[in-house]
Amino acid sequence: MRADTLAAEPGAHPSPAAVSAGFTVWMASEQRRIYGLCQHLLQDRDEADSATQDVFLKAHRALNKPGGDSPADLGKWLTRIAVNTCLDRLRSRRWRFWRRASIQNAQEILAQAVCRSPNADDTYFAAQIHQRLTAALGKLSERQRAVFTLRHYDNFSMEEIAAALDLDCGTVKAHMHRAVIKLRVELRDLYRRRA
Amino acid sequence: MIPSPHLTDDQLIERLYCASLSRAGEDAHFDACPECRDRARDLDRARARSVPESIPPPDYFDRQRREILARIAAPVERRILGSVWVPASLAVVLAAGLAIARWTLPEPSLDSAANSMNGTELIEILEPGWFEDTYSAMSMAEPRAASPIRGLFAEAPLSE
Repeated sequence: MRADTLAAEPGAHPSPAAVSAGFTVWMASEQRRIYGLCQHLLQDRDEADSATQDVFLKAHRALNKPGGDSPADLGKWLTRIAVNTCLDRLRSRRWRFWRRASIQNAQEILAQAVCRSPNADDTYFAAQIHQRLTAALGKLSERQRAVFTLRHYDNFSMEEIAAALDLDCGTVKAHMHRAVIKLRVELRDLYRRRA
Repeated sequence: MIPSPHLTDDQLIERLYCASLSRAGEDAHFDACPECRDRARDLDRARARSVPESIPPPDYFDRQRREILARIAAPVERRILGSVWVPASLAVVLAAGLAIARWTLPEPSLDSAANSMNGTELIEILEPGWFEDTYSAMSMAEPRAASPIRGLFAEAPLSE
């Protein structure tokens, strides 16, 4: 989809009706992907919901900014907005020490895992891994966490991660390497027990 | 003990996430060894299986879309008032006010030069009558403060 088809009519009052039909269709096609990305990065449904809304709001503003550049690849551009929005939220979490624990409860994780795993043992193990991984991810820096999450949950390649974070591949590899080392230490008992 | 020619689990995990291995020769072994490639494929499948699939209710994205469109349509003033900048600005103004008050208002402290003698701080005594009370306590056999108590035990004249 071309960026110029998503902007509202010039001078139009920003009412829901004035938001171009192209933007609404494009948003509907990208919403699930962006929500999933935000949920993986933030590990919190409510915050992912709010972050997804912020992402599309920012995208709408940028597309309707007079004299603004039209991104060549809308998908990659939106991914970058989403990743930056989540990174900002992860950074602000440090100050919100009163915030409730973000780890979802075991029941919820089990309910999610049931759909994916064929037997009870795998289901339990997948839920356990997810819970421990979520806790371990909290001990990484924001960048390490973003790099690992984009690879683990969203199956991004190194080049895609570099583009999303506006970093070069070498820096992404360095962050990933440190993240993997930290997570291996944190989760060593889990995968040794499984083996 | 002969070391295994194959890559360890840790090496395969590193390759899965970092797309290459840190030591020279390991990548060449990986490319040439079908067994290690199979194990890496299994590991990647395990990674995919461990990712929980989030399935929101069917109308979830419709509701979210409506909220986004409403936020786009909201007047700019409301967006500003609802943002974090308002409490942040108030906090900055309050802090600046306190700082100005701290520097401009005179401090209620005693003149340090006039109230110190040989390094010993003197206490300013402002209570009126303090010297008289102290003098009476030192010069009289019975302090002046004792007279009201004595009055309680004094024999009152008998009434007619």
